[in-house]
Amino acid sequence: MTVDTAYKIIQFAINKSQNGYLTPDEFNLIMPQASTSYMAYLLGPFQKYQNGRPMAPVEIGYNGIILERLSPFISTEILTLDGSGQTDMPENWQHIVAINYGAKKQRVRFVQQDSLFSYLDSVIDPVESNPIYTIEGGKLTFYPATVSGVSMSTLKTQEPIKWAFNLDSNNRPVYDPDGSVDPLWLDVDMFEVMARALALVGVNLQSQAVAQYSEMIKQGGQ
Amino acid sequence: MPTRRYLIEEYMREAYGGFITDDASVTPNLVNGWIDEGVAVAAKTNYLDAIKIDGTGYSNNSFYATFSGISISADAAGRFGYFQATLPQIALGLGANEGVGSVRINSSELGLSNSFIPLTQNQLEYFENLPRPNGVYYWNEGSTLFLVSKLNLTGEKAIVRMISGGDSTNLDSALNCPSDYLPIVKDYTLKAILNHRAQSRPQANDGADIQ
Repeated sequence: MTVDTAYKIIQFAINKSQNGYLTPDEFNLIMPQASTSYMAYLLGPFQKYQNGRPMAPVEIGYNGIILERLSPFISTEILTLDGSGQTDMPENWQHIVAINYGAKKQRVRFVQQDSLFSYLDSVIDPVESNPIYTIEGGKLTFYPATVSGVSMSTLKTQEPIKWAFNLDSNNRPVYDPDGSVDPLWLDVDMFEVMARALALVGVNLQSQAVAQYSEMIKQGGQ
Repeated sequence: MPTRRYLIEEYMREAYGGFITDDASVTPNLVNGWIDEGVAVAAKTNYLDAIKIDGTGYSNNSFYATFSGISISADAAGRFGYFQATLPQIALGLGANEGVGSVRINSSELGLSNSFIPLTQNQLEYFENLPRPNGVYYWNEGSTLFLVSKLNLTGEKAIVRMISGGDSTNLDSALNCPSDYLPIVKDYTLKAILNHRAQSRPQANDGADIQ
């Protein structure tokens, strides 16, 4: 779905309720937030965690369907470590999907500080052949520092969705496809993103009708 | 003949109900250790089965493995005529000394020796005071093999046949255990895996133990 189609659908929903007009700048402001909001939902919001069971009702990793929905935002890159085994986190990262190394893509385990000594001191699975990593201060730290051939798959936010425009002779915005940024979401997910955008619009316009329509989509599906 | 890696994967997939995720806390090396213990249990069961069936204890040939090139050195305690070597693993506690089946050397000068004479702990303290035929005597303490000989064995290489699950450092090596006793290895290993998975794990990175 192009950004132009999304803008028109949102305009249609708002106008149907006769609740006003959404300017391009307002659309460009709320769409990236709506996109991030839906991504956060698919990742598994921690507010939904239960005591002793840190899992949300919907969460990445549950099954292939959720991973398919997020696949447009997952990319893999080779990491270059400094002499201390550290490297910066990539730009716009939201979630580490996996870190692997070697020809067989052995998993590099994430270790919290509580367990760091146990892993470093292990004789059954020494870190030399079973590397680990921690996250601190926006950096990844690998043990051992000499581990090589490390690749990381991360979930990243996209370039902000943008409906670009030029002004015509009457100062009305006209869609500019060249300057626009289309959403990367699959078509089946765009309604979820738009529903979240409409929720923001409903709050802004103090419109119960728009807010109810948004909630209907989020709870009941398409 | 299944390799250790094959059995590790088989047992883990059964315990996890499918292919294992790469971040499983039960690792192949951990399971490998349990498999070694399982083989020891299987060998012990085989020994006891023999007593039940034949009234005498012995272990089936299939549990034995031959290790060669084991270096012999002078006795660390400095006892004259005593020598020692390091076994690949601690011999199993079957009978008085059935864990080690035979020891001999393959000398470059003298060729392959006759089998040396095993001693038990009960015999050790008085065997030197009794008339005995010429030969080399041996016993093991843990993983150390001691030998008593009038010939200088320092520098020679021993060939040892003992009960062993095979090379536990190589996951691609075959597990030295007959098929009819593999279910015992499996039961032991699966129990250990499932017990491990059933334990509570700390959920918070807070420096405190599980409450």
